[in-house]
Amino acid sequence: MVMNTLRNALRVTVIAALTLMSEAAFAIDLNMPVGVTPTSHNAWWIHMFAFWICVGIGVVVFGLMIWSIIFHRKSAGHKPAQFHDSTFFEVTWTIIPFIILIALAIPAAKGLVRIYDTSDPDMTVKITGFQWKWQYDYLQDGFSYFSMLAADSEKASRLDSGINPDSVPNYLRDVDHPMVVPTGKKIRLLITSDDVIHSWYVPDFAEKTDAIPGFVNQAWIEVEKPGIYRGACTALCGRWHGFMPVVVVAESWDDYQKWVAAMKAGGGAYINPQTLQPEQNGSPVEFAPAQLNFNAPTTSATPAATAPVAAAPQPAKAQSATAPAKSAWTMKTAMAKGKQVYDQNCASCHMPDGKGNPALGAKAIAGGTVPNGPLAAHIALVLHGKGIMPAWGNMLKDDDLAAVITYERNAFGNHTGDLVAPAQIKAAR
Amino acid sequence: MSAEAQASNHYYVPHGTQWPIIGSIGLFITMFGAGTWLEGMAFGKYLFVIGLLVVLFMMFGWFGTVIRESEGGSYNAQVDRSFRWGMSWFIFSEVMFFGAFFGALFFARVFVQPWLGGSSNALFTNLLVWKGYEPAWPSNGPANIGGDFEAMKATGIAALNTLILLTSGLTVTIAHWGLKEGNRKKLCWFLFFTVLLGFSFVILQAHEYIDAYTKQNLTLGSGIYGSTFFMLTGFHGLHVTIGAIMLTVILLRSLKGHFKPDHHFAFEAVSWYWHFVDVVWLGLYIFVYWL
Amino acid sequence: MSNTAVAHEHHAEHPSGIWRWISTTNHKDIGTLYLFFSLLMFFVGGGFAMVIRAELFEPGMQLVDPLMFNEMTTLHALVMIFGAIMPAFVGLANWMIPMMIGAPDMALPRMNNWSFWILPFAFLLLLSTTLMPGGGPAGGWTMYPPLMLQTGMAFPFVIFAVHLMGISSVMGAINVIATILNLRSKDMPLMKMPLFVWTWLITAYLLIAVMPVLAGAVTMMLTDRYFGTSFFDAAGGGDPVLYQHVFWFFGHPEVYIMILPAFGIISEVIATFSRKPLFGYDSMVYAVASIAFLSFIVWAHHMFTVGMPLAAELFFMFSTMLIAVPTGVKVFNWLATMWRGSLSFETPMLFAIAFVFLFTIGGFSGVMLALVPADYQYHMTYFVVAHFHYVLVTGAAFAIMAGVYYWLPKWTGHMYNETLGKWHFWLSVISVNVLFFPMHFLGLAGMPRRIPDYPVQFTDLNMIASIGGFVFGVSQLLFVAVVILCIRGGKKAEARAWDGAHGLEWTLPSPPPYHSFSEPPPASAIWAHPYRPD
Ligand code: HEA
Ligand code: HEA
Ligand code: CUA
Ligand SMILES: [Cu+2]
Repeated sequence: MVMNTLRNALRVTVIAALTLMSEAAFAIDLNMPVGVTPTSHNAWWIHMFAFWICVGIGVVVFGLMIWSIIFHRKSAGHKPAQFHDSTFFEVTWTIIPFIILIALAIPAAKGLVRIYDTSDPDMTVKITGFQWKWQYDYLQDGFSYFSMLAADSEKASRLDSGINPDSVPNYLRDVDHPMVVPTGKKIRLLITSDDVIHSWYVPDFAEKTDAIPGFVNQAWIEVEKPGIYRGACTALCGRWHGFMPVVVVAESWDDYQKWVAAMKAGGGAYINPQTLQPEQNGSPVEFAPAQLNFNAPTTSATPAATAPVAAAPQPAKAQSATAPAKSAWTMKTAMAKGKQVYDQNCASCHMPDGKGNPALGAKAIAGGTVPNGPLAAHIALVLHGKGIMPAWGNMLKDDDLAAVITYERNAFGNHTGDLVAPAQIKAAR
Repeated sequence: MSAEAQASNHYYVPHGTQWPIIGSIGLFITMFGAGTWLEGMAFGKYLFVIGLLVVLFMMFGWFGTVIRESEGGSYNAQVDRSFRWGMSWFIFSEVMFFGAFFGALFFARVFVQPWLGGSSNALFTNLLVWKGYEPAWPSNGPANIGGDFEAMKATGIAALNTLILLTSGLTVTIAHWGLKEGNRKKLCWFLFFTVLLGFSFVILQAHEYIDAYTKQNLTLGSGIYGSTFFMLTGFHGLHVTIGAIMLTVILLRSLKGHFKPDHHFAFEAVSWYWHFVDVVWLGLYIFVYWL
Repeated sequence: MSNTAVAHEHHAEHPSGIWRWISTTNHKDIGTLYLFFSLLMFFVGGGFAMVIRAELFEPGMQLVDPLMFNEMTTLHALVMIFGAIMPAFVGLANWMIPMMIGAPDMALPRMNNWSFWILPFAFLLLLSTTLMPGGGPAGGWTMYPPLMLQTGMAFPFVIFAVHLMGISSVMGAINVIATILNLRSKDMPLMKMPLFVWTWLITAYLLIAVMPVLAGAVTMMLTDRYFGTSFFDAAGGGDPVLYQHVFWFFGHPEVYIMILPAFGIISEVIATFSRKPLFGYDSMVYAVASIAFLSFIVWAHHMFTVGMPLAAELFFMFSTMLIAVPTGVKVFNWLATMWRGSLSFETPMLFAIAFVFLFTIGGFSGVMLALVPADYQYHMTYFVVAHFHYVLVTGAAFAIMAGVYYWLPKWTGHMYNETLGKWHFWLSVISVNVLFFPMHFLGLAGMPRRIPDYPVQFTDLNMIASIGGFVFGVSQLLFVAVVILCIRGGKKAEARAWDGAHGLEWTLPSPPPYHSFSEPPPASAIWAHPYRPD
């Protein structure tokens, strides 16, 4: 880690010294992306227009200042003039900026009007922000799923993980289950939140809309070319705000249709960059959108390990989702599943060793009063949350909750012996 | 008299004062106490009370000093003007404080309600989150927070209180005339009436609150209506109480023979404050009770 | 205005030791207290910033927990705004306004003392929260609900601290207004007041108008958390965005509160070192007034992405852009003041010139931010961070430094060490650009604000920024050195420390007497005013 720091530092200073201004030297473009939606092209155009206007004004203003700094110096023996008013000039430099601003305002207003026109879309996706993951709900296709930071990034980003971020593919830019959209279609986004304010942002779409609990904002995108587009949550939403990226996979309408079919069939099958080509793990996974629909349920990670499905829109599906779990519900399966769910969701605050984190006000699970206290209270707390403890009820399925609660009550040296059944959770909801 | 003469053409600059630091410490204890209290620590409320006592002590001390100096004649017309500027801008800041809450009320009624009902660009807010919610006022929101309640009426106590405050505004003005005419009897009596009216307003409002909680199921927790109603009227009630107490002090000072027909800033300051409280109430009556 | 001589019990009696500072009612003592307090807070807030920059030096979490990082960001901003910049300006006002308008002291000396002595307690309350279970405030300085409601035990203390700061600024502002309107020498009509006085008069008005609104906003949040109100909860008919409207109704005027006095200082300094009357005095005054007016109707430009109705977006975009006009007038007037003057470049002038350059750059990015379609890209990215540090650090903070260098000789009676001063300037002006300029690129490349860790492609620019940050930070130690050395001694300063300087403060000896003008200044002194050399 230290060596790495020094190496980076050296590289940077060299680069900086050599060419601060040449884009080539940097890992990123120094300018706003042109992007792949009408909105983003418009944003880029307005940005450049405003930029060059400012450069122009800057050249004049700074030029004149530098001139008088050079030629009107006392040390150069310049005697001060005594003028201190000139209606002509004062009016001029009030009018001219005003005109410039009007020139700026017109295209901006036009662009804004277009952005606000969310009418007659080809399809609609509801996006819900959670602490700290996104839920994508394909309303007319009747399925939805969560999308959270990819596991390897999450591990590497733990304090002093010792893992060098450079070694992680798409560090902090990958999710387990990206959003998938078709190209060339007007897609209406309905953006809202379940807890605090989040903001859904993809630079290449110039699409940034706040997710506000209790309200649903509308936006739209029309992606021009297939590809993987990465963004992030841009509204401070708590401890892991920096760790809830947005990944959107845009593919042709046909591929998209195949994906939808797979989704409906699998019920819990996702494109997952990490599991797509397991042998490639550890190296950046860039893949052709065409490959996406080969991703059958089998190749996808087991549902519990990745983010679980939300209780699907129709109750019928909810049944089917929990049915297989119910059949073989033993302490062993529950504990195994519970550990996965715990590490995925709870460990970040309650710590992998269940010791809790006083700094966060996250109580200890090990020997904790709630996990060793009455079961009902424990279930209620996990379902509905309290203070900074999130309400997991609307984020996890019954069987995941049953499993994790079982786990908490029988791991870390707790042994209440309780085996919680998904039915109990369902009842407690 | 000599003090008078000397004051008339000198700007009075006091030397050293212990009151501010005492006030700061008092405020600190009060707020630290309030914080710990809200966070469920028992000792908090004691700290809170102690802090308040310190602040009270500071006020007595500070105002006492100022009164002595004033009666001692060390304040000339210019010092008096500084006080007036100070008081008027303080009242302006109070207006802005109430403005924040009136603004909240306005926003909630005029914008948030229709949005929850799906108007403007909030169609899906209604379709997906608050299905079937009909905008309304009074409202405790689509989740019917705090349960059904009976809203306040513009008639009854509210109307009576309006009458009371308006009258008290009049009586305090008459008292002022009395003071200017050097008619102390008039001054004291009408001040007395004002104080009386002030406190009866407070008592009536207390009655109104008790009804709200016990009979109408209208509480701070009754959604946005309860929130705005109690915060606005509550802060106003607090100001009326403070104003009434200040009037009482002024009354006592008048009885002790303080103030001169041409030199009575404290009296005017309090009467300004009273008129301000009066005007805020009119706003409340119109926007909270009536419309 | 009646005659303004002073009367008080025993003339030269002031207590010594610590009690002198606690009990003082003297505008110079209190000004000094404000200035030292603000310097201290500048270092505290800067210390937090150093933690931020160190954590962001490279990807991966090295130093602090993410929540701790958010705390750093939040406290950094609160401390810098309410602890460093604002008190610095109040300190300058306390020192200079009475001297500039020929007054013996501030109008309400006891209250003056109180408005200062509330501050240390307010920050004691604020900073103590870092030690509480659940940590200090971590919702950003804007403290948006519902996130802010998740704060641990710290929550009520933060809010009460904000209340205290509000009380303090309002009392300070009232005092400034009363002083300017009531203690001004009868020979000085409003339109002959020095610009620093004018800008402060208007700033004080803004303060009194918006600080109570902030108090209201946080109070609603307090009751939402503890007393079951639903101001910011849709379920009860409230709206989280309501908080944002109330907050920014305070917040935007607040940012002009932090720049208008700076405009005043720069106007004084540039006129002095150009040895030429300030150009367009009247339009300067009108510009400040219109900026203040506009600042009340632009607040929602901080909320373009919350999903406001189209009409609102358009209105706030246009009104925001308008502010460029009066601000431009000021920039051009400064330019015209320098034009064909006889410029010399002592440290105050250097900072003033840097101000004009760099504030203008910050203003440009401001106008770009005002363009809504583009703001959808800029919003909540480092482009915004770059914008406001250009206007706040190289704007407000640089102006304060210009002012301190400009008036130090007057305060201490000694000239400061010019060489050290120049070192401080050059180190600062170079490093500050290394620190903040790359943030424009980071923002355009899509790096969000308020994140403790970032994708690896942002590494290079963040390292550059961090290095600039450390250098800038350490450079500020030079500033402290200069100030202390100047207090300790140095070349004796004349009454008119700068040959180009005009205005009443320079007619007093350096250092000035305990009571600035025990006798009202002669009218002649006022007619020798810099802006009207008739
Ligand atoms: C001292 C503080 C200060 C000042 C002076 C300004 C000045 C301006 N600010 Fe800034 N601003 C902040 C402090 C400040 N700002 C802060 C702290 C934030 C972030 C808050 C947060 O989210 O935490 C912010 C955020 C902010 C936003 C929100 C960005 C976002 O979150 O998406 C916007 C958007 O419109 C904005 C606009 C402006 C504009 C138009 C000006 C104008 O006043 C600038 C005018 C000046 C000029 C334009 C230059 C000189 C003019 C000329 C040379 C004339 C010719 C020029 C033209 C015709 C273009 N600011
Ligand atoms: C008004 C003033 C102000 C000032 C003066 C500053 C000064 C600085 N600011 Fe800040 N800043 C804000 C106002 C200000 N800022 C605001 C309002 C925000 C938004 C917060 C939010 O998002 O809610 C912000 C946010 C902000 C961020 C973004 C944080 C985030 O989004 O997560 C960063 C990141 O680099 C930053 C950096 C700095 C730095 C390096 C300085 C430097 O200029 C500081 C230099 C000064 C010093 C360093 C003091 C000297 C200290 C020492 C000498 C001792 C220790 C020194 C060393 C160890 C070197 N600031
Ligand atoms: Cu979600 Cu930030
Ligand atoms: Cu603003």
